[in-house]
Amino acid sequence: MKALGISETRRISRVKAGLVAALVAYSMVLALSATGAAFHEYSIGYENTGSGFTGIQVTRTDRAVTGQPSTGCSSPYTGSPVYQTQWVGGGSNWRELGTGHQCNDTYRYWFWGYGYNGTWVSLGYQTGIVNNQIHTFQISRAPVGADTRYLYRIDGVTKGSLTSSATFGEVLTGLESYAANANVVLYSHATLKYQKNDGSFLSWSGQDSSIVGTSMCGNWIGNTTWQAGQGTGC
Amino acid sequence: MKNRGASLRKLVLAVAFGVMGGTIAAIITPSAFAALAPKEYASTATDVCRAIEAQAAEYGTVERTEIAEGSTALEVAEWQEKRHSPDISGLVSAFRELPSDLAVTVCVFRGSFVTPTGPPEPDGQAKPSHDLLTLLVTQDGNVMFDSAGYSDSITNRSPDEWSATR
Repeated sequence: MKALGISETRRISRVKAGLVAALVAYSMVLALSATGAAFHEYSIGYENTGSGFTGIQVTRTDRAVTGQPSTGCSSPYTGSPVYQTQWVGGGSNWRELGTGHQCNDTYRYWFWGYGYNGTWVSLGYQTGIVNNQIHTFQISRAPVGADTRYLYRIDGVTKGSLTSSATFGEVLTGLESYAANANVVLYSHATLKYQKNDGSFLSWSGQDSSIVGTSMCGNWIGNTTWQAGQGTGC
Repeated sequence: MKNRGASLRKLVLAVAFGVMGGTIAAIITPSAFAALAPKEYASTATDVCRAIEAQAAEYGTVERTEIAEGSTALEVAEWQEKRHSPDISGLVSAFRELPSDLAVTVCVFRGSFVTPTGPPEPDGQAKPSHDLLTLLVTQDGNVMFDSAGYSDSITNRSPDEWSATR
C-alpha cells in the first residue's frame, strides 16, 4: 500500500474535519427541529380589565387525563405533563398554583411557585392527589407589617407564600398541555373570582379574553365559569 | 467544605509521596492551595452532574451541562431565598432543614424542558420551552428540582453567581 504524503494526509484531515462539522451542524438542525415541533398548547380564560391584580380564586375538579404517555412517573414537571392551572400575572412574571398530571395520569400533584424574568421557581408540591374531587384554589395577597405577602391556598389551607410588592395586569385559568395525544373531558373552572390591591375577592365579569389551542377546547359558561378540555374530551 | 478539604488532603499526600510528576522546590503556600483546590472541586461537581443526566432528561431534552458547581446546604438555602430579592423575598428554603455543611451540587443543564412557562404570549402563542434546567443533588444522592428558565433572561443561576453580585 502506498504511503500517504504529508499534503495528502492534511487533505484527508481537512475532509474529516469538514465531515465532522457537517455532522455537528446536521445534528443541531435536528435538535432544533425536535424542539420546534414540541407540543405545547393552552385552553385559558382571562380577566384583564383594569390593573392591580393580586389574586385569583377557582373552584374545579382535579380532572382525569387519558391518552398521556407513561413518562414522568416520579418527579413533578417531567414527562409530558398536563397542567390544570391558574395564574396571577403574565409575560415574564407571575404567581402560579395548579395540578400536574403525568405518567398516564398515575402521577398527580398540586404545585405552587412563581415566575421571575421567565424563570419558573417551584416553591413546593404535594403528591397523592385524587381525581374528580372538587377543590378551591386561591392565590391572594395581604399586608403583613410593612410588606405584602402572596399566599397559595387550597381549600383554605396555606401551601406556600412569598413577599412581593408586585401587582399584575391579569388573572388567568385553564389547561396547559405538553401531551399531544392526551384527552381531558371538558370540565369547569367555576366561581371565578379576582382580587385587586389586596382587597376583597370579586366575581369575574367581563369574559375578557381567551386562548384555545388547536387540540384544545374552551368556552365561557356565563361570566364566572371557563370550561376547558383536550382531544377527544372535547 | 468537604470536597475542598478532600482536595487539600490529596494534594498534601501527593506532595508527600512525590507523585506530582516533578520536583517541587517551592513551599506550597496557601495561595497555591487556592489555585489548585477549585479545579479538583469543579471536576467532582461535573461528575455528579454527569451522573444525573438521565434524570435531567426526564424534564425534556438535555444538550449539555451548563454549570456544575459544588456548594453546601447553607449556601443553596441563602441563594434560593435571596436570588430574586428585593422583588421576591420572605422565602424559607427547604435546605434550611439539612445540615448547613452538607455538600450539595448545583447542576444547570441546557436543553428543552416541559416546565411551567407561565401564561401564553399576548398574541396567544405558547411561550418557548425553557432552555435551562437547574437540579440540586445532595451528598446522599437525592435529586431535587429547583427552577427552569431561559438562558437569555435568567440571572443568578447558581450560588456562586449570586455571591459574585453581592
